Amino acid sequence: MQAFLVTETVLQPEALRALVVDPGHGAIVLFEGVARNNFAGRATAFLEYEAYPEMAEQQLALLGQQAQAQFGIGKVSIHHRIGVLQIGETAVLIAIGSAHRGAAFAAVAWLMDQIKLVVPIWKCEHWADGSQEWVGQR
Amino acid sequence: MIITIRLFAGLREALNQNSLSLELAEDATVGTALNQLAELHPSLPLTGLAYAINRQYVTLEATLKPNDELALIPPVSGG
Repeated sequence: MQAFLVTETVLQPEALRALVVDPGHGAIVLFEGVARNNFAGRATAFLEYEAYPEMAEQQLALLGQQAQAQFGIGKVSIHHRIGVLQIGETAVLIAIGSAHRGAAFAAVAWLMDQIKLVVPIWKCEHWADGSQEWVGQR
Repeated sequence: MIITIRLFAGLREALNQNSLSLELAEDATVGTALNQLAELHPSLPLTGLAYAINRQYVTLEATLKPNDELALIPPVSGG
């Protein structure tokens, strides 16, 4: 299992947990970003994600290294799903192993912010009214 | 020289293709490539983009080499 992966298949929290667990570490933080049924209050039927996969995986790995340097955490793994996602399905999964919980909580928050800024992945909202829209946050 | 341009999200949909080849003069920059693309496809929305050459973010001034892959990156929205 690759530590940094963009995939069309359903994300597996247990697989990521296995990648970051360490006998010397007392904390594992698992974060799931989940497809939500609205965007700024507008009803969403389902989501579709597209990626520049080769570059996205490279950027995720780079963010993992930066998080390790900045927060002193242990192993990191990040998987991002692409393709069509139904409401309630997991779009992004981050696992962090750490000696203590504080660094891992801080690192996971930082990583999600960075993912939304620099990783070449795009979300298309398929609205409940049948229209669709690529949303961007830059 | 020939380079490949990769298109994603709204840009891909605007041209109904995920990549295209572009012939450019030697020492062309990202900016040169964009100007040429705008002439070929005036309807393509080329504002607010980031750029990557061979999967590394670059600026408009970056120089292209033969067979480079130039990705046009609309505002990202992963997570």
